[in-house]
Amino acid sequence: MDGLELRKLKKDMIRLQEGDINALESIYESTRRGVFSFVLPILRDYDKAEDTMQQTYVQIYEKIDQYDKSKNPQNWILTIAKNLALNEINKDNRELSTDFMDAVNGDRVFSFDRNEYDTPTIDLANKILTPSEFQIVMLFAVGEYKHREIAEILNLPLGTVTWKYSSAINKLKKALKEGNYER
Amino acid sequence: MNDKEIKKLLNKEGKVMFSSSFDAVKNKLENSPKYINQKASTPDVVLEKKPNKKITLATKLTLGLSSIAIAGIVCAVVIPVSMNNSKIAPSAEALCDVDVSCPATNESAKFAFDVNEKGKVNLNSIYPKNELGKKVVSGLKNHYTGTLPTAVDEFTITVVKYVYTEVDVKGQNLISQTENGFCIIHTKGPGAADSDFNTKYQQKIVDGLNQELPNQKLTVNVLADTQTYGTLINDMLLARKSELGDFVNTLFVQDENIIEGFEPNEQFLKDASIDEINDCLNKLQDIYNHIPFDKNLASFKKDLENFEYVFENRRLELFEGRATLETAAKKLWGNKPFDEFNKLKTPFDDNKIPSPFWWKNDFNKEGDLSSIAQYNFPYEQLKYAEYVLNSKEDGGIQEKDPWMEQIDNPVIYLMNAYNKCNELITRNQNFFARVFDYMPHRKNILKNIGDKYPSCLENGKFWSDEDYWTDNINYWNDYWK
Repeated sequence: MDGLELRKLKKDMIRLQEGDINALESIYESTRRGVFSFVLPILRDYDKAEDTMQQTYVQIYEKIDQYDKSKNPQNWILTIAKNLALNEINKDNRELSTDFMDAVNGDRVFSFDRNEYDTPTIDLANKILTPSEFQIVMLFAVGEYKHREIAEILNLPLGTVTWKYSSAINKLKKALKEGNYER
Repeated sequence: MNDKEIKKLLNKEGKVMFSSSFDAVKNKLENSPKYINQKASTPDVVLEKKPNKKITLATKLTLGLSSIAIAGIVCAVVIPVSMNNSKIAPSAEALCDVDVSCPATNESAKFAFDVNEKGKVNLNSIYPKNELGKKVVSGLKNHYTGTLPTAVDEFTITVVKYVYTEVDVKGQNLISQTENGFCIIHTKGPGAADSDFNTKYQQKIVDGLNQELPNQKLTVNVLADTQTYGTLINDMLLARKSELGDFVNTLFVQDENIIEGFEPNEQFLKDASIDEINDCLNKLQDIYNHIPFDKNLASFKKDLENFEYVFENRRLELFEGRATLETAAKKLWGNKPFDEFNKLKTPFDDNKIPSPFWWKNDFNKEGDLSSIAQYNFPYEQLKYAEYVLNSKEDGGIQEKDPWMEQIDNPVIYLMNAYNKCNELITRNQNFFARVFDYMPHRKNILKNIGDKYPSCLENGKFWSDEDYWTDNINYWNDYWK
């Protein structure tokens, strides 16, 4: 998200805070890809990720009074998404974790089965990458965040993010070259 | 398929995946108490409905992804030791006691050291307190001379000889080893461990080592260092310092921040003639010829990779910084030629500028951009410019350039920052390209290692081999276009 987009997002957040509910759609359009690509690797379940993404915007609407306009709205939105995703995991009665990275890195089974979409490369990435690599790839390639933003979002050093991204892309390249997927 | 094409493919698939419309959110909102109340009190404020979009369905792919087996393969050869209760008091005056124990043998290396007024440790003030402590101190003194520059509360000493790297949950390196058997605990700089390393992760490492290798014997050598990337070159250069004479001080400068270490001599690299550079590279090549390949090879590989990726990250950061700054400067400057930037007095009409420092006040009001939005002020980019240029690691500006303190014109500031990024990119690339990338000898080294130790390779190649660099450079060149 560049500076102009960020400024627009801030304006939309303020509009929503002032009661203009139609600003929510604009917020949704500008951030949904980022939110989805953020929660999918946490939940590793397409339907749940979609549901959590939608619920995130309901929460944004509900909690907009708590939004501090001096803060980065992207981070605020992703914090809501993260909490909802963690709640979702906890609801599953799996191993509880309050640590975000623990949750991301957990070895939960990925239910990625869906009928209507054709996403072989993303599926392949999910299959062969480590959870944190998958998350970085999703945020960068799909969520269209910059490495710098991802570092901030995941609280990782920039070097770690670029390193993992390079490593992940190399793995993907190798797998694609070996024909390790179908189209 | 190159990096960029893969990214495009992922992005394209992502667009299909994220085709969910806002109507689903609206439906969920219908159950929101706040929305119900708002609708009741202000009936005009309702969400407008739009027609649904039909999604084109593609063939379903079956990859059998119903489960993923995550295999944790520990492939390190570990000859450990451990470091229970490594305690270093943060006091700058007291004599600090260190007790490094090896649970496997019940041996404990005890020694103490003094800390001077600058918070540094003088090697001559390290006192062994038992036999093993003597070995440790002797090991230290054999390898290092002078002072240990790191403040005492910033490093931890351990006693190890193993080939092992522990990474924390955030992917940061906690501990690794140089080819000389020296353990590095990363406490600051790139790949540094978190501040809670000493409490949480150190214990984890100790526990892990004890569990995996309970019967191994303790062997010595030690020490904490602060910079990852310096270790490879430093150790190689230090090992041959007397033989190489002035060379090490020509191509590299000694840096107090690395224990008796070296950093690229940027001034030399900037000013030197091709012949001088070639001469240095020939000598460096000679050093590479003498790397003890049969000794801790995996560690050598790790160091090499660390060295490369630190430089690469810095280069990528600068590329991104340069692109950001140029975009910001262009927004302010319009379509005028860039080379006229430096001639610029002010980018705005006088009547639009309340005072020479109008923007400075607003700059400090983080978050409140409304008053400066009319000038299309590149707040984020200025912050980013400072972030990129102030980075003190791996080739950033160590001290602020004078122009950075005199920000009375954002365009000129951005242009200066942009030029500085260019300069740093050139320096990094020149150095790195000359020393590693385009040095034919390096390929031979890697080939030799690969021939002798095929287990070090993946599909016959190091990740850092030529393909990686070609793709990466192409990727960023495209990005920059």
